[in-house]
Amino acid sequence: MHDAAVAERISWIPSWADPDALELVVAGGDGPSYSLQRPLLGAWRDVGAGLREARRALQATPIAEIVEAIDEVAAQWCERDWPVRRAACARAAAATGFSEEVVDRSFDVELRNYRADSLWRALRRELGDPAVLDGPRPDPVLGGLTTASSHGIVLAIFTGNVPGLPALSIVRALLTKSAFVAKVAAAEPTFAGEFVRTLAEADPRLGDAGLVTYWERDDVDTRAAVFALADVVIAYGGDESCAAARAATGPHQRFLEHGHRLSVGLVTRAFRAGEGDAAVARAIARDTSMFNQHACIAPQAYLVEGGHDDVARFCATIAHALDDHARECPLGDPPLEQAAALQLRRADAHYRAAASAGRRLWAGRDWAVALDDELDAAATGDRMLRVLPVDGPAAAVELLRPYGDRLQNVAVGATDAETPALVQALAGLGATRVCAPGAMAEPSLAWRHDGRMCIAELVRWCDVEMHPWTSPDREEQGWAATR
Amino acid sequence: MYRHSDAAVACAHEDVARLIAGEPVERDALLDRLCDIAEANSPVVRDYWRATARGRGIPDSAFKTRPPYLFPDSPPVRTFTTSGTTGGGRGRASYSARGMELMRLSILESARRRVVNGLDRPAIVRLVPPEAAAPHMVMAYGMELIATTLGDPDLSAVVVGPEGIDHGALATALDRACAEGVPAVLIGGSLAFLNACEELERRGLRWALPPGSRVVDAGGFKGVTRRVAVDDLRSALTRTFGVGGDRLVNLFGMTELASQLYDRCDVPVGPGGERPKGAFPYVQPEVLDVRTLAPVDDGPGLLSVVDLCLVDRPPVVLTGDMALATPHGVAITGRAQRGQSRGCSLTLDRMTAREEPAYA
Repeated sequence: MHDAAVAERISWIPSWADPDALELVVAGGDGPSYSLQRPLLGAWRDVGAGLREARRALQATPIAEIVEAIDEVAAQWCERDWPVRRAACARAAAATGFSEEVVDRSFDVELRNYRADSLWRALRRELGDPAVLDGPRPDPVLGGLTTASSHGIVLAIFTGNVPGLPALSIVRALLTKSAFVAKVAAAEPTFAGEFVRTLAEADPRLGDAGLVTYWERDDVDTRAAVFALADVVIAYGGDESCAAARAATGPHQRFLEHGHRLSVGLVTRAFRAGEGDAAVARAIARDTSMFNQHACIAPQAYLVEGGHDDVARFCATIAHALDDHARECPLGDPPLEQAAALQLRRADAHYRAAASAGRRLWAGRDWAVALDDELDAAATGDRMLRVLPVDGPAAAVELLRPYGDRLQNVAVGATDAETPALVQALAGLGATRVCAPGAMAEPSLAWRHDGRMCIAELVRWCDVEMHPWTSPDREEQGWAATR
Repeated sequence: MYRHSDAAVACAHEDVARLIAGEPVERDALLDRLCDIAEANSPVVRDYWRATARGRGIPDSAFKTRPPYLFPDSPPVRTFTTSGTTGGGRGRASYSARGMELMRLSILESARRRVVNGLDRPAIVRLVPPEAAAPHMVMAYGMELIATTLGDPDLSAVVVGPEGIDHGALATALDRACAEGVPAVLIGGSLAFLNACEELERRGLRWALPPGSRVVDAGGFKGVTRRVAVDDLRSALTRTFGVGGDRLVNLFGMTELASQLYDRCDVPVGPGGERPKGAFPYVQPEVLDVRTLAPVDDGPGLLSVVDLCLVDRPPVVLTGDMALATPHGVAITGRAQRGQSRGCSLTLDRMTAREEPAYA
């Protein structure tokens, strides 16, 4: 049935791990089968000790060297023709059913974020002076010095909806000199281990600080053993799986969630008039098609200012643009269950459109546009975009109000005069990112993902203040305060 | 627009009754006529079929939002609903008097063949609420109809009360059947049976029911967290009731359907050991390719059911279940997920995984 010899290896085990303390597991359902190594149940304590040891080595490594190593690896990953990337792309496509072009475009927008300039920018934004990771550095606002240390071991539990996504939390962990354990998703288990392998090739200290593996959802013993060694738990997923991870996290551990989020686009009449419907439609098609709409930053709906008939005409233009996009970048061949779900969603949408004079559906093989009057209606995904006519920006904001705390990425297509108030309102609602239509799929590493500082939340600060050591003017600031 | 009283409509409905009764009726032509009526009477169906394909199954989601009903001049006399427990509201299926009559004929004809299967007035013991306690539950209606029409009036029993299964009453009913040497037919929800077997086993109770006895379990294990293979239930039923092989029959029904599908033979063809369902002239399961929605002869796909007894609405339902077409028949293998199952993107989805069907 499943052959360990030919099945893809999806794990990464650090070089210091005792090979006799590992088990070889073959996993896979109806799709491809994978082999992976995993510490035996009783060996996880030692793995924790080994990771802490590797973390100490990282702590002694200047951040500049870590950035350089990641940059070196990222530069290679950015090349579509690099054999490692080609193979990874093919594997991710096979696992997810996405077309290779979809995977390639996902890799393109994500992996460039791990180049040096992007890494430094994100570090500066969140930590101020990145050298705080190396030791105490002057903090003029504090009037002292400060240094940032990792909490220890980060456990990251990934989902499989975005190829290449695991690199994000793995890089954040390494930037903060944290060791990590990564649990890959059954839906896309192939990228993480390979990514860490390439990091290890550039700098063995990075590979020694991480372990990538998998366990079944009902393997509560392994879950307990792994959670026991974590200082930080990062959970990606829906409400249920995040709740389960939170429940497994103790009060002494830090729990960070990347849960379900809603992203939408917003386009005003004036913006459309200025840019032209064709160009705006192309941007919308790009936003909708990237990641096959499975990412938290992908729009599930676009709110368009205009009357019903006008917006209906615009929908036809969007349909055209989605069709053009699909020609160059097809959806792919989803696995059976996914394809079935997509058909049912389409059938629901067709019936829904038939049952109401105002609703309409345009559908091609790889996409669909649903003109609707309700934001909260049938499911989208796999390039099914809902388009709602709205009276204006204020009406759009009100429509989004119930989803405020889930709002993530909002594309705003508006004039310079309209934008400031709109952004203010959206930020107040809960949006964590605003961009132009067409740019939804390309957040920078500096973006505060989920509205949080995802690098900074992996460190603990030590501030040195009111100490003679703290500043040149210590007579005034240090000694004076204690008198 | 056809009126309910139009000759063409009455004639088509009469032909459905004849089809159920086993008389020679051109089934394909009848299906065509029923589709013509649906298209003529419902702009929604017409637009839906224009956008998809003529005769395409109405998705089960339609029954929650705008349930199709073709004859405004003949208001419904009965409405059944799904349980509506996991969000998205309840599905509703309404029947005219004639629709109820055809449903009654269909239920009984299928039950004669696959529930009692030649037995003369067996003791029919139901693990489902009595109809009066659950008037909107189609399974309660159907099973009571079967029991009161085809079962022994004295030995038949209903053993579900407000507190759930009355194991004492169940034991008594089976004891009486054994004492009289009358074959027993147990009928009820699959999960109810599993729980009953566990409880009876715990009490140390087992029977070797009289020859000819049967168990008909309805539905499956949707909405239950633990995975239960078909053969797990079958083993439990054999252990507790002494009934096995092709006397264990699974039933597929839906609030949205008038007719039911039954196991055709005891051959495990599905991935969970599911047995294949058979077709009758008046109801057929079909499997549609997940990419093209073309009919599939051999392989997995989406389940569509052509139920000619559904005269008050289009005769085809896209059920939302997965199925496997095999030479033996169509095995129903589980609910299809509608929402996105992976990842962190929130889709605006009120109608997530369907709640347990009425037959759970």
